[in-house]
Amino acid sequence: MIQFLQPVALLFSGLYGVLVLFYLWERWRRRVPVPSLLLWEAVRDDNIRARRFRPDLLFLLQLLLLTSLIAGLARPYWRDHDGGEVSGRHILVLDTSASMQARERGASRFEDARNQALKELRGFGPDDEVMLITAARTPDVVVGFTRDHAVLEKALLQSAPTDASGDLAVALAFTDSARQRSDVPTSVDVFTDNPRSQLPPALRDSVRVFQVGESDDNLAIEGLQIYQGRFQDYHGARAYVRVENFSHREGHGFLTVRLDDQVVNRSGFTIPPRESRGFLVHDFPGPGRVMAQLEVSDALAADNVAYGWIRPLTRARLLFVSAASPLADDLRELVAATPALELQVVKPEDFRPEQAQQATVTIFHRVVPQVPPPTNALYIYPPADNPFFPASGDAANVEVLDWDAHHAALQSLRPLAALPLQRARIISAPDWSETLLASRTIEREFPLAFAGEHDGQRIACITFDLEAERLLSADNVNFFLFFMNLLGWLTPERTDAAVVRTGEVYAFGQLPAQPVRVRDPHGETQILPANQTSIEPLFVGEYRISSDGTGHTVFANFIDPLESDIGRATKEPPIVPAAPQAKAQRAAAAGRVPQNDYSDWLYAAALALFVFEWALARRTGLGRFDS
Amino acid sequence: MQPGNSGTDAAAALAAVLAPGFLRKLDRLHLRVRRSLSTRPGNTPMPRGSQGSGIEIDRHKSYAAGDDLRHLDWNAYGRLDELLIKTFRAEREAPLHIFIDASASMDVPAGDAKFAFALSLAVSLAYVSVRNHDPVRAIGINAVLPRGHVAAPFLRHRSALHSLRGFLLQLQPQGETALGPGIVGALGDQRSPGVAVVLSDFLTPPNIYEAAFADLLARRFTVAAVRLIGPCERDPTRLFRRGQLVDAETGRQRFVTLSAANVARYEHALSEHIGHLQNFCNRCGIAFCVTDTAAGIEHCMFHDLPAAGLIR
Repeated sequence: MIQFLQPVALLFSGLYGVLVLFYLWERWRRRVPVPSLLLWEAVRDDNIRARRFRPDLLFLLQLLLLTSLIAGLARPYWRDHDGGEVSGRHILVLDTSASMQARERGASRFEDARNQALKELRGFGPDDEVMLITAARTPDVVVGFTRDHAVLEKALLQSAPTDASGDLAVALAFTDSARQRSDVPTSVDVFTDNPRSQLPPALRDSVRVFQVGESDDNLAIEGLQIYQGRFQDYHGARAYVRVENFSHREGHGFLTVRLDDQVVNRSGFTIPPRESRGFLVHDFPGPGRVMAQLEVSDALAADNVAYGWIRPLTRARLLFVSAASPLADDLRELVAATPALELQVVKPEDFRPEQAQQATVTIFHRVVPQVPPPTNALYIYPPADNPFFPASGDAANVEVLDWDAHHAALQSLRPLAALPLQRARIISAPDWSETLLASRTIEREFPLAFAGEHDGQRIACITFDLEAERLLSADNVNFFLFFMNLLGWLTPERTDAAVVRTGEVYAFGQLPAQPVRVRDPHGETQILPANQTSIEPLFVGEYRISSDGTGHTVFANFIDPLESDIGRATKEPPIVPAAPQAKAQRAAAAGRVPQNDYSDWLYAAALALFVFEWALARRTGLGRFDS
Repeated sequence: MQPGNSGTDAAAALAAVLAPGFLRKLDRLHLRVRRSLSTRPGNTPMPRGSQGSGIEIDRHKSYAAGDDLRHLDWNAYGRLDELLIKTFRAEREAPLHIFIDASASMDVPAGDAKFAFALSLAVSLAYVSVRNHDPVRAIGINAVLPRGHVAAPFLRHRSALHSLRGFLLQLQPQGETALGPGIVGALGDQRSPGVAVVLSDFLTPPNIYEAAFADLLARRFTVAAVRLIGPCERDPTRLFRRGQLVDAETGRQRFVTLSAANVARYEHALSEHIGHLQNFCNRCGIAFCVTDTAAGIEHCMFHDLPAAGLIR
């Protein structure tokens, strides 16, 4: 019996009425002015046609043409039994990770895999339900279970690989759960460049794997690191690029490093098989976007470019509230040597809270104001009777016994253990703070430095007398670095640009207004939903996030040695798809014989009818009228 | 009057006629006049008419008392010793009246371009006339115009052709045919005869155009009728196969299917219509021709009109 894949298209049958109306209107409209009816007196009136609708050959042809088009849209097919039960379900998992972009023999692995998937899809029965999942870093159900294979085919043709790493395990776990929930036999076909042995052992035996790709010819940028201190401008910035040869033969090429569009460095290289090489680039002419690009002839292009960011210099204003002391002199000397710092020294009796509003950080030395300033603040050796950090006593000749190496203030510091200090206040660290340095007396452990956020401000406190330790003394480099790191933490830099890896979720926070537009590296703009404050870049390049005039740039890099290593260690022969005969047997066992979809024939018939009608109208002149 | 819908076609047609090349061809044409016309002296020799003075000698006659001695042929008297008086062929001006049917039927079907052709033909005839120093005027005729016509003043020189062109371009084909009232109204009480050329499709009952021609003949006019016809009018299957026919002048409608029988009936009616017009003209001594607009103005001027005896 005839059934329709898209029966809703039969609603277009209402166009028959429109055609009749159009025909009547067209006939009424066909008015032919003649010079005079004098010569037409002898011609008989066509009274019957004038009063009654009587279709002619052209009308019948148009009716047939319309019928063909509507039937074609409804997509009829023949089946020799009744019933609409599903005979089987199939889940197609298409690997869209970056390695699928690798090109071999004129086509990419993704194109090969997609063609395999299309071939499999066309072999399924018309009643089979099929789901399409693309798997990159996370799986994505592109089309849920459907019998409309045309939709699946279209989705397959529109799918494309990403520049992100792949994780088939998550996708297979998902398909396994879908298969277990299904009440009819469900098969899973995976189209990937990963060998079966690299799939999760618990799942790989229940799926059919169509493996594509052989080449290991790939050179990749496996790291781009920009070194720029918090108070350094672009002159001191350096870029370190690591290039790795993943193939089993020697690799050659050029590495070009650009700042925006200006070439800063271009180096030729030769890298032995399965080895890597680093390139240090400095002397950047200014702040901006750093792009490292490989000029090589390899199979995978996505990992041949990486981006970094050299930020412009942002000055920090320090307000130092202290009586005359050697520490003030040390700070003056320090600021004179650091272009990103400005210093204003105020005596405690002259300090006013509005002065703190102008500063980035207010440093209180041996003094604590009655009201905390509305800025980030650093308290050095606060007095014993201060209201903010009440001290329970003093300690002399203490040592640094412990520290929080993960805090930003202690990055890149050599071990501070056993560093002696002349005197310190014994202050309990507030609940909102973390202890950075710690010591202990016989009775108790107490912090030497702590930091945290309180009332929206970053606050740090050094409980020992830094003046006594001589900040700029060559013997206490660690204290100097600790102090600079702490200043850096207290003066957070603006994040106009960020560098992330493809596939990672990047949160840009709440922007001032909606809508938020994101322009991806391909130039396509997407408007984010109202509550979305993050993006997941899937392609290498620059993402521009903008809202109401404010902008934010995210550079996405594809850096993943596992994904770039496209030559798989295990080369397994691809599983041969089931023979057509077996498929027919499967379908016959389900009581269904797949038949053709007749829509293409109907479209062809409509086209032929159109051409025939046009020729007939031209020949008979029935289509012409003089307005 | 308003600019006609077919103004662009008419302007292009008139521009083609007024091209120097075509005008040079027209230089060798002359109107053929068959009877005595105006009493005013002119350059057109009159058949069967003589006068006392002139250039071209018609005949000699014996002297009779009262004859003007200035016309005495003294040479003949010297040779024959007989008093003979020279008489000359009458030369009168032949005023040309070009009646242009400006009814709506002249503009339908658009493909036939009868009205534009009529304007071109009027200009061509006017040029031939003024080239021979005869005055000419054009008269547009339809039922919408006051008293059925609008007339241009007489033109007597080639330089005035451009004013005639302007007049013709102002004519708009509209309303019903008004040959009778238009011709009578245009001539008024004018008694001086001339040459009258009627350019029309004559799609009007025969008694209408017969009465109009009778009036012209009664005024001793040399009359010519040019029946304009186009390819679509000859073969209506070029226009349609089936449709609601609308009379361009009266607005009457008929639904017609052009079956083979109906086509034959139409062609018979057309042939009968032209035949009746031709018989009438032959009977009354009216020069007559059927001109196909598709053949072009040159074919009309150098073939159709000379064959009809209006031009030599």
